[in-house]
Amino acid sequence: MRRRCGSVLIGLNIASMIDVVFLLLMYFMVATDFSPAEESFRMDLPDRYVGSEAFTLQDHPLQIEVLTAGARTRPIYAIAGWGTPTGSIDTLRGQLDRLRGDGGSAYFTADHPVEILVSPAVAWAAAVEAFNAALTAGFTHVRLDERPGGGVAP
Amino acid sequence: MRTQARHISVPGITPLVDVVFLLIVFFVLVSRVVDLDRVSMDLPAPNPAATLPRGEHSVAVVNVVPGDDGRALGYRLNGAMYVADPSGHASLGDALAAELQADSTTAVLIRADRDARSSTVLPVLHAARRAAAQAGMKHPVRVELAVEASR
Repeated sequence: MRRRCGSVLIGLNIASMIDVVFLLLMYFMVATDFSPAEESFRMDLPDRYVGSEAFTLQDHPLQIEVLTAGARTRPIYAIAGWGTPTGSIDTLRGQLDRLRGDGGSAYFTADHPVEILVSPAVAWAAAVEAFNAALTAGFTHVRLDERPGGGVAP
Repeated sequence: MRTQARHISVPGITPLVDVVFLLIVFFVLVSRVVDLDRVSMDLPAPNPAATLPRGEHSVAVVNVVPGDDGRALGYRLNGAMYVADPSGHASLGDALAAELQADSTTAVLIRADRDARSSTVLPVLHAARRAAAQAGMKHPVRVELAVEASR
């Protein structure tokens, strides 16, 4: 873009503009955090052997076992005493929803303790999925622990 | 008589902007705080996640450093590395106890890869439990499990 003003040429230097634009681009790339955001689940972990007032298990906890049938196999979720073991987290969610229910149809109240008992060979993601399923169903007292005796699915 | 040409020197604004931006980029780069508390890994990503917003309390971040085939290379807490064996678990428990003694409201944030075997993560829970007892806490230790935020 060039304009003749009398005998003087007034021009816009495009090279400097590109310099500045690239610098701006660099600045925003450096300043942007590309790592995915993190959230967290929260649980209170009482001493296993000493009763704790904050988490005294008055009722027998609802136990969800997370098992594995072997290396590199899908996890198996089993609600002890309730429902059939399943390999699908959605099915587990459905089972927990039915147990928690709404109003009078609920077998368990929201504050009923829930234990996620994890087999050591299970992938951590499966344990977290089970934990999330219990919370999603509306249970508020959920905790995660190691399944006694380790555990491979029968 | 000769007319002397008048030279009016005008400072160019463009090089000035260039330099200023370069300085900004330089300082952003050098002052960028590397978050030693968070080791790079693929966190579990349940969707939808029933997570709670982070509180204002302090956290002791325990990273289960991922190794091959779901194993752990060790545990990282406050820049220190603890090996993934019984002695390392004990040392990790001692370090957590020191954190809890300093501030009993501290939560233990566990960061573990989604493919890690639970056998590598569960010792951290045991260490946290032992640390609470060692620190003489009257209330349960708060544990947080890190997950990727659902989109």
